Amino acid sequence: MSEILDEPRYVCALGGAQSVQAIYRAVPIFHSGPGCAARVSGSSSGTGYLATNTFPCTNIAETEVIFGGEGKLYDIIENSLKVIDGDLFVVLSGCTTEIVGDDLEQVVGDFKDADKPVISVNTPGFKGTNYEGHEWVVDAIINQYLTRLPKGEKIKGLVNIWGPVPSHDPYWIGDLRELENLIREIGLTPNIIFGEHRGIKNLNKVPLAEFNLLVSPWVGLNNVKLLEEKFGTPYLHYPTLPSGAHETSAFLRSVAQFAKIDLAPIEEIIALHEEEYYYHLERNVSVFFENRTASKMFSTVSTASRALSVAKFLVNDFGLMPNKQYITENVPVEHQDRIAGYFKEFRYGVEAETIFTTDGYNIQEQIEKEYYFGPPLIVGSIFEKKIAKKLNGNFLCVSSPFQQKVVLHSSYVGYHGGLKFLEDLFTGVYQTYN
Amino acid sequence: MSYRIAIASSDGESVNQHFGQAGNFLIYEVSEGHVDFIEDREVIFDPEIHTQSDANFERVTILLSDCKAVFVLKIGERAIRYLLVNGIKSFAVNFSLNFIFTTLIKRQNSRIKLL
Repeated sequence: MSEILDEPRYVCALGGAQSVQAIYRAVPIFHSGPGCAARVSGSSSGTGYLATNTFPCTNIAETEVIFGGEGKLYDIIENSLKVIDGDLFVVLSGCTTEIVGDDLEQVVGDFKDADKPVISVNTPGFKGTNYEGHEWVVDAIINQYLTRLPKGEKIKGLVNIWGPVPSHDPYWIGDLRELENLIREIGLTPNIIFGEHRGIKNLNKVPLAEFNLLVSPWVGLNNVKLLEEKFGTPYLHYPTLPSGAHETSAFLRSVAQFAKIDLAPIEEIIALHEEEYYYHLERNVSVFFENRTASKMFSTVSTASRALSVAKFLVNDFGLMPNKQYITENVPVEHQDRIAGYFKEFRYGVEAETIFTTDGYNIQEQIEKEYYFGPPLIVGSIFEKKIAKKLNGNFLCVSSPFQQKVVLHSSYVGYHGGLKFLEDLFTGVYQTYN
Repeated sequence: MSYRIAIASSDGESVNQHFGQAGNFLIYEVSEGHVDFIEDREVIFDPEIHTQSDANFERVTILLSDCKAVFVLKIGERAIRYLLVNGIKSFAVNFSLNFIFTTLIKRQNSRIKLL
């Protein structure tokens, strides 16, 4: 079954390379055509210790398609180990080399005695999206690297945090850091492998954690299950990326309960945060509710993770009503019913309908038909800007493709994240009408 | 369907000559299930003509005009393009002749074909 896909909001599985890049001093090696590295990274993963233009690549062309590219891959790995000062080398395959049938595992097997670990992961574009690619990369790291580390003692209070997908989600790093702060506040020690100067040091600690914390509706679920299988580490699956007081307080209570921490001091922390949070909401009520152009109903057009986070915040904290929620990252079918269920658990019995679609034309056509009791609020990607403008609605860009503003380390997670979301939302409202 | 290939090899065992400096090309015919040696074609160098010139490319192209592909150790970008517009593909490889032959025979009935 093939059809034309308008405005896709993801890249192919080879985009899992962005997760390798996000591990400091880890080196993705592309066994693919010369354009693939640039295509899957786009502008989202930026520059750094290594970047799109400096990744080793086998530059597959006709010769390798006919005669196989294993010899060339061997040369590239051998030379990468010589010239690139990295800690972990991850070979990723593209569509072409998978169709030709190159055996990555066999070639990588020749480097099992190399000074630095070399692992491989099959990420052909026809097999899935970059969100699945991210999961496969983490799975490969667990299976081929972590399980070969010498066994160590579990560290009390150490928690691995998984969830936001590096680079493709514009707020990934800020969100991860905010989750880290929240976990630290309740007395646990967070461990995240992605982002600045964490790298192999944090990666090596993954098997030693007391438990894994997954903050995402589906991405990463297979990883934490695999970690449980390999290292006996239990996991807490908290599907909603917490934004705003209601969800963040619930998140802190859930984690504390799972970690068997005394709840009394946690309640004190929560009360302090909520006091500050509601102070800001209260003193800006005039901005939020006396603004005639503010919306009453909203739709999100985003990944399951971001859509759920934003929808819970807007309904539970801010009192807007949800219209249809469009989930755009081609969620695997086995997760869809469960995710649709999350959108029926708002406060006051409010429920939202979820549409799983990857097609921009389809989404915009449906949004245009819906009734929003005034100007709609569309929270999505840059693709939704046009339809929001057409309907005289409000618009906030929160997910890829982004190109709307520069995000360095800000986040929509936590108490401060909720306030930041409102700042951005109403800045947009002001700018549209003033 | 059979086709001819040219290989820049001085020893008949592996590809070991640069396109511009090759003194001879071994011509083989690839047919269903087997490869036949046709002949060894000598490149006559003209001291008046530079090896990197279009005039030299044209002489070699005429020499290999019945071949669909040429296998060389190295080849320049201009030469690749010159050959291609004249219907000859070039492959810069360091394979043994045996590997080239077995792969091409195998590929004859697969979806990935040389031609």
